[in-house]
Amino acid sequence: MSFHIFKYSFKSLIKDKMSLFWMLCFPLILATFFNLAFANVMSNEVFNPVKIAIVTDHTMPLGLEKAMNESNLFNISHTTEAEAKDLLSNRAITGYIKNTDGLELVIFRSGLNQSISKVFLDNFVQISATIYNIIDGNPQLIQMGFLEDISFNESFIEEVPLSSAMNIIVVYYFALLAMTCLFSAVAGSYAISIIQANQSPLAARLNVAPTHKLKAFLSVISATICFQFMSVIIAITYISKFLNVDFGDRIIHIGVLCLVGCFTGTMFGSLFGLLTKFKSEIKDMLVSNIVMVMCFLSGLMVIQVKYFIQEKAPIIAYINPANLITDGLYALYYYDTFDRYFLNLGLLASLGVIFCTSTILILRRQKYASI
Amino acid sequence: MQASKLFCKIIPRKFLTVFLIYTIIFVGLSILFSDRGLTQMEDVFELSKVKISVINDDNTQLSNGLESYIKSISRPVEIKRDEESIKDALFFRQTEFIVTIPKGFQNDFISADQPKVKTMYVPDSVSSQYAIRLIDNYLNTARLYILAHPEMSLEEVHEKVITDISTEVNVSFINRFNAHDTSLSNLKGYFNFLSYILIAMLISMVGRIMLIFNNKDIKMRNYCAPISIKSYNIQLILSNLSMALIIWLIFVVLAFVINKNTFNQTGALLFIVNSFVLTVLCLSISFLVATFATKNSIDPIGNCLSLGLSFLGGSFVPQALLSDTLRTLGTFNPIFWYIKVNDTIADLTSITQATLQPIIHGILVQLAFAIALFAIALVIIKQKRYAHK
Repeated sequence: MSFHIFKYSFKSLIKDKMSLFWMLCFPLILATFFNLAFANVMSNEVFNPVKIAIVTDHTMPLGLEKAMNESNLFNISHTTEAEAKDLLSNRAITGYIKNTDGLELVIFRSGLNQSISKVFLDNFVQISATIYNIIDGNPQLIQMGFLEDISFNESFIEEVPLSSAMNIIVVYYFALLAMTCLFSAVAGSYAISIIQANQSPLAARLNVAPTHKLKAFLSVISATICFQFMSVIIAITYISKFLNVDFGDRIIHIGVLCLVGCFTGTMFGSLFGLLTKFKSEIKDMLVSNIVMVMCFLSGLMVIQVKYFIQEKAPIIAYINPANLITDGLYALYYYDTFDRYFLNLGLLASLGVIFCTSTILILRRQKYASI
Repeated sequence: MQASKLFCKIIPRKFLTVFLIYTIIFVGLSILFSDRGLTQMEDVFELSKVKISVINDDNTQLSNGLESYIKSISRPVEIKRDEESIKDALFFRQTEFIVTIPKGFQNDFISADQPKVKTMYVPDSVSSQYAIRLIDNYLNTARLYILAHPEMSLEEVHEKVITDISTEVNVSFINRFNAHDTSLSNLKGYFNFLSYILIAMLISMVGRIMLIFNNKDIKMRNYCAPISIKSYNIQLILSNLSMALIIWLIFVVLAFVINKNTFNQTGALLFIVNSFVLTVLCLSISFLVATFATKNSIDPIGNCLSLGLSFLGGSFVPQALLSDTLRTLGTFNPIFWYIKVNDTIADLTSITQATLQPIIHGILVQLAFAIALFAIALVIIKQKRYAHK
């Protein structure tokens, strides 16, 4: 009998166009949008030489251009000032340098490339000032050959290597997977409405059947989890194979986390459906909106929200299933160790178990004398 | 006026909650966006100050001097010192550059060893290049002074270095009057984001109301009422329009409540005009959707359209960061034009015919889209009416 209910619940999920859309197609569509929109974002963080023009109307200080070339920071062109203005208005260059009364940098708006150019020029002017000051204080230094063996470009920086997996955009996809897992809450809440005899005619029919209520409930729930896990797998495959987003190679761990996520999501939905008494339409809307809010807090819309919550309100981060899934996937992707992953997995599973036991406890002895 | 009256009765009963939910979410997000400085994508472009965190283990004259210099010229970010917090902060770009000044740095520096500060940063990023330059600048100059004047105290060296380093080249902006103004870019952010909310909300509200009116039985009942079909349709269209206008008005007022002191700015009026055109456009889109959507499919369609159009149009990600293909495809996306006009307004240098031209052009394109979509909707409605007979 259990298998019978399981089979038909699964079939009805597959045939329900709405659930197919929300649970399967919507995440895929969203992933495609992410991919299209963010395709270029990361490449902008990579450093490209700053395009800068040198105005040829006045002579530049000696050695400036040589220093610029040596720094490998710039892509220099020479033009007249009028031409440079045109180029700048069209943002073809970052800025241009002119030398009327002292060096001057003309830019369109402030920004990093502009700042780099400015700091470089500042540096050039500053070194002149420094040398002047030093010689001013101690003129014998020139005779001692001090200027010959000094260097201005020594590096004092040592880089500590970091994980190469620094792509912040993947967090969007992680939050998306969290959303996919948790959307099973809608189906979970629906499952309750076909178990509680006072909520739908189908449930009333099911209740008079000689199947144990718990058995029936668990069958419906497992069908939901299976269906949801299937769509998660489709989503993962789509994102990693078709959109070529690199999730790392711990695919089994990802799978386990998502499966637990589906379980917790479904149980959350059932508990919600059990505790509230609304029309099914309103219930669906509420559940899916709550899930969306959870996903928002885990960074689905604005990534920094996740970090913000984690820093300022860690408690919310630890009880929010969406964040637990997102954070678990993030830990897998970014960290070499598994500690944080297992912490998230454990918390998520315990949330699921709490939801599940409360649901069963509430559901257990409900009998209907009349409806 | 019966149709309008009916319309007015339906709205508060069915859609006040929809409206409130959307508005609350939107306002919350907008406040978050503008106050918390969470618009990181934009930061990479707008701000010259790199977020640097300094961990000073040495605590000597030289290292303190370096620390205070870095903090004065960047946006210092305090972070917790455990490894996990550091790594997280870097990943989420909370800080972009972490400098650790090791113990004994000053001693090594004076004894002409090659001391190094340890740095962690996002590989190959622009901001790190900038930060490296700042640090090397300071240390190179300090070293020069120490070599030339070994008798000088480090405090004096720091002062000298700071005076030298504060010699700067002049920077001027090419004829712009709001070069340092971030409030206008906040306003731009608000209006760009508005496109998503408006489509989602109008499709959800107009679409559903029209579905009620398009119900076959109700329609047949209404058509046999002593009111001409023409007047009936005009009433419906006007009611929808006035509802959209009220929503638009609320959001415009909210814009200036959230971003205070921006109303009197030159661009503000243009933003308002542009968002008005957007409202009309969204109304056309919702009208079109309502002609073929059913009760069950309206949410999916609305979600896909609102997310799709605004994602691909650049409401969330700045248009400059979109790929070339998307920017070409954007020609066919009315929202893309809306965002483009907003961006142009925010960058406006002066109001002349030449600078206004791209704005007017963009607005006209949006209007053309609105008219075209509306016309298609009307054709479908007409076709359906004959199909009923």
